[in-house]
Amino acid sequence: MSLRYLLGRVAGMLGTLVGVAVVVFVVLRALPGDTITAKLGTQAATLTADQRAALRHFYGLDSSPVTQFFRWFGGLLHGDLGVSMDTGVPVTHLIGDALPVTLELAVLAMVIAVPVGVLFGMLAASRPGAVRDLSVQGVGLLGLAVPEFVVATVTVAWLASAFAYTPSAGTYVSIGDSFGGNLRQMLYPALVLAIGLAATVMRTTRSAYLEAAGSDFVRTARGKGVTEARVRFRHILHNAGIPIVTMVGIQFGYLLGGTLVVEQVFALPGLGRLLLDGILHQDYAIVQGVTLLVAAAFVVVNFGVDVVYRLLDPRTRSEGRRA
Amino acid sequence: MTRIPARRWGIGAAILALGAGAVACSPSPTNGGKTGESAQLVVARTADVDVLDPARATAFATNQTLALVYDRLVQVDANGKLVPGLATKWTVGDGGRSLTFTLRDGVKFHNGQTFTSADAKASLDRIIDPKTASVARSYLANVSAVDAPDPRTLKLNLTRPDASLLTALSYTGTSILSAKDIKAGTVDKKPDGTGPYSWKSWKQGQELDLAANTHYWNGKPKNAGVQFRVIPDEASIVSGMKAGSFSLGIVSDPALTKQLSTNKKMKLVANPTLDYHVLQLNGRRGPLKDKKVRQAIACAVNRKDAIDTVYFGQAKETGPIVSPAYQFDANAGLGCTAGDTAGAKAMLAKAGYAKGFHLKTIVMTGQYSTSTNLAQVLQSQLGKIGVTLDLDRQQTNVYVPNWSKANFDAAVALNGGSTDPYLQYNRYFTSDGSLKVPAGLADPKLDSLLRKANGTTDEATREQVFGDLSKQLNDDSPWVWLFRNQTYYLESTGLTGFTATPSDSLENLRVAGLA
Repeated sequence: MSLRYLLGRVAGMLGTLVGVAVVVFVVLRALPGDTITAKLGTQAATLTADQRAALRHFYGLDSSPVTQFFRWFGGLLHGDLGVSMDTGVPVTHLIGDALPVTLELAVLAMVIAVPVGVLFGMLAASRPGAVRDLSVQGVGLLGLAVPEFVVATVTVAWLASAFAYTPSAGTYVSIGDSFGGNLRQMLYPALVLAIGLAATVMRTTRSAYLEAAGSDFVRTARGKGVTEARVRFRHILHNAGIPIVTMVGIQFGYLLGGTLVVEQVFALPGLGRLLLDGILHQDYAIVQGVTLLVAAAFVVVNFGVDVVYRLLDPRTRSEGRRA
Repeated sequence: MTRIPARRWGIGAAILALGAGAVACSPSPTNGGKTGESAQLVVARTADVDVLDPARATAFATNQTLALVYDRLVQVDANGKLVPGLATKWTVGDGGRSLTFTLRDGVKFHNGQTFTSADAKASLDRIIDPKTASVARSYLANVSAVDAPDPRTLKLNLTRPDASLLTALSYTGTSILSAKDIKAGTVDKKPDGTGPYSWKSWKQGQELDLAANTHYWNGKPKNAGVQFRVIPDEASIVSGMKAGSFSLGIVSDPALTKQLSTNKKMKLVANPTLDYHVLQLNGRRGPLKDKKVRQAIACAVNRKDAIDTVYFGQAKETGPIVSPAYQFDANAGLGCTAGDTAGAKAMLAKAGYAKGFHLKTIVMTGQYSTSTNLAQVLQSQLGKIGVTLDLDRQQTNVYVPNWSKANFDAAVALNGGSTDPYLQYNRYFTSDGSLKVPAGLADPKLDSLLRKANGTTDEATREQVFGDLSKQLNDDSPWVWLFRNQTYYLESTGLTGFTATPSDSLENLRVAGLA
C-alpha cells in the first residue's frame, strides 16, 4: 500500500464526512417544526410571540441557519460537537457514554454470529440440496424474516416468566465495573442481534464456499493428497473469505447505527437511543453528532475491509501500485 | 462433493446453546428485599426527565418528577380540590384584585435554608420575567406585582379578578424555588426544593434517584426513596413487573394490559386522567359552519362503541367538562341522544346534506398509541350518516403546525384538561384565547360564560356557570367529546398505600410502602 494511495483514501474519507455533515444539517432544518414544537406539542400554539422569541433565543434558534452551521462546523474542527439543547450537556460526553454500549453490543453480536454463521454456512454447503442444507437454510431464512423487535420482546417476556429475570431491571453496568454484571445485561440483546447476523453470514458463506469448492485448485489440492480438513479450511474457506469479510464489514457498520430496536427493548443507553431521543426532541446537535459518528464508523470500517482484502488476496494489492 | 460427518457440526450448536444458558440468574427482588420505611420504591416508566427547571418543564415525566422535589403554594388533592401547600391559607381582597397568602412556618429547603416569602416572591417574579422563557408565564398574566411585606406573607396584586389563578399556582410550573439558587443560577443544575423527596442522582436516559426528605412538613415519607427507571418499551415494563423487578410500572397502551388483570405478581389499576379524547371540528369551513351539521355529527358518534374498540370497554365517557370536581350530564344541551344514527341522519338531511360530504381529518401519530384506532372507529361511525373522514396521519411535528393554524376540517386530538374548567377552555373559547384559531369556533356566549366563571370565587356561582358552559358547548358542538384518556398503573403486590390521581401525579408515593 503506497503512501499516495493512503493519502488519497484519507482525503476521500474526509470529503465524505464533510458531505454528510452538510446533508444532515440541511435535512434537520428542512424537517417541519423545531425543538419547541417537539417539546410542547400542541401546547406550542399557546405561546405568545414574545414567549416564543424568548424560547427561540434560549435554544439558539434565533440566529440564521448559515451562522448556526458555521458555528457548529467551526466547533467540529476543534472536536466540539456542540451541546444538547435540553440539558446543555456536551454532545461529546453523551456520545462518550453511549458509544461503548453500542460498540460492545456490536462486537459481542459479531463474536457470536460470525463463527456460527461461517460454520453453518460450511455445513449447508458441504452437501447442497441435502437435508442439512435445507434445514440450515430454512432456519436461516426464519432468522432473517422474523423482525428484531419481535425476537427481542419475546426474549424479554420469556426471561421474565421463566427465570423472573429482567435484564433492564438495574442501571447499565459497564464492563469495567463488573464483567459478570455487564454480561448479564448484554448477552441477551447481543444474542438477539446475532440471529439475523448469523443468518446473513451463513448465506454468504454458503454461496462463496460453494463457488470456491468448484474451483480447479480444489480438485488439484485433493489430487495432491491434501487432507480433507486442510482443503476445506485452507483452500476453500480462505478463498471464499473476501465476500464473507465484506459482508461482516458492512454488517458491523450497520450495527453501529442499527442496534436501536434492541436498545429500546432492553433499555440500554446506546447510540441508537441517543439518536432517537435527539430526533424526537429535534435536538439538532445530538442528531448531527451521532450521524457524523456513524458515518465516520462506516467510512473507517470500509477502509479496514479494503485493508483486509489486501491481506487475504494478493491480487487486489496491485491496484494500489498502479495508482 | 465431500461429505462432512454431521456430528462435528454439533459443536457449534452446543456453543450457542451454552451461551444462552450461561446467564442463569437468580430472581432480583425489588430493593434488595427491604420492606417498610427502609424500602426504596422502584418506578418504571418510558420517558425520562428532560429539564431540571420546573419553570421550563413541559414534558409529562418532568412535571411528575419535579413535583416530588418541589412544593407549590397550594396543592390539589385526589378529588380535584385545592388544599394548602406552602401557603397555609389565602384571602381574596380589593374586590378580587389581590390574593394574600399566609406562608407555612418552619419549612426548610433540602439545602437546609429556611423558606420565607422572599423565596416565593423570587420564584414567581422569575416566571414572569420573559428572559426565563417559562411556559407557566401565561398563568400569571393577570399578576401585576408580587409583594412580600413580611417573611410569612405573600401578596399578589392582580389587574383583574382571576379565580383560576389558585389552580394555576398548584401546577409544577409554578413551583417554589430557593431565592439563593435563583441568584446563583443553579436552578437547572441541581433541583433543591422543599418537597417530600430530595434530589440524589441522575443518569440521563437511565435512572433517577430521589431520597426521602425526613424533615418534610407534611410528615416524613413512608419509604427511603424513589428510583425512576427509564424503560422505553412498554412491553419490557410489563415483563419487568412479571419478574418482580419494579414496585410500580406506568404504561399507556391498552393492548398491553388486556390480559394482565389476573397476574399474581401485580395489580392493574386503570386511571382516568384529566386529558380527553376529542374530535375537533372546524366550524369556519364548509358544511361545518352550520350548527345543525355539527350537532348531527356529535349525535352520530357512539362513545361506548369507541371505548369498546379503543380501550377494550374500559374508559370513562366524558362531556365537555372533565374535572372530577364539577360533574354534569355529558349530553345536556346536545338535543339528541349520542349514538342515534337514524336521528343524526335525519338532522343532516334537514340541514340539506342528505348526500353527506368529506372531511379532511388530521390524526397525530407517534405520540400516543390509540390515535389511529380511534380515528378509524370514528370514520366507520360517521360513514353511516354519509360523512366521510379522509384520514391524514401526521407525525407530531407535522400535525402541530397544521393543528395550530386550523388547517383541517376535523382533527382527532388528545387535549390536556384541568381540574378548573376555566383553565381547560379559556385558551380556546375566550376572545383573546391563545388557541382560538385551532378551536375552530368563536361564540360570544362561551366567552362571557368563561369570563363570568373566572370573575368570581364564589363556589356555588362557579358551579352553576360551569354547568351552563357545558350545555352551551354541547349546543355549539364545536367538538365531539368522547372519553378521558387512561393511564395504567401496574402495582407490585407488595406495594401499599399508593393511589393514582386524575392528574397522574405521583405525590402519593410519599405515603406508599412495601410490605
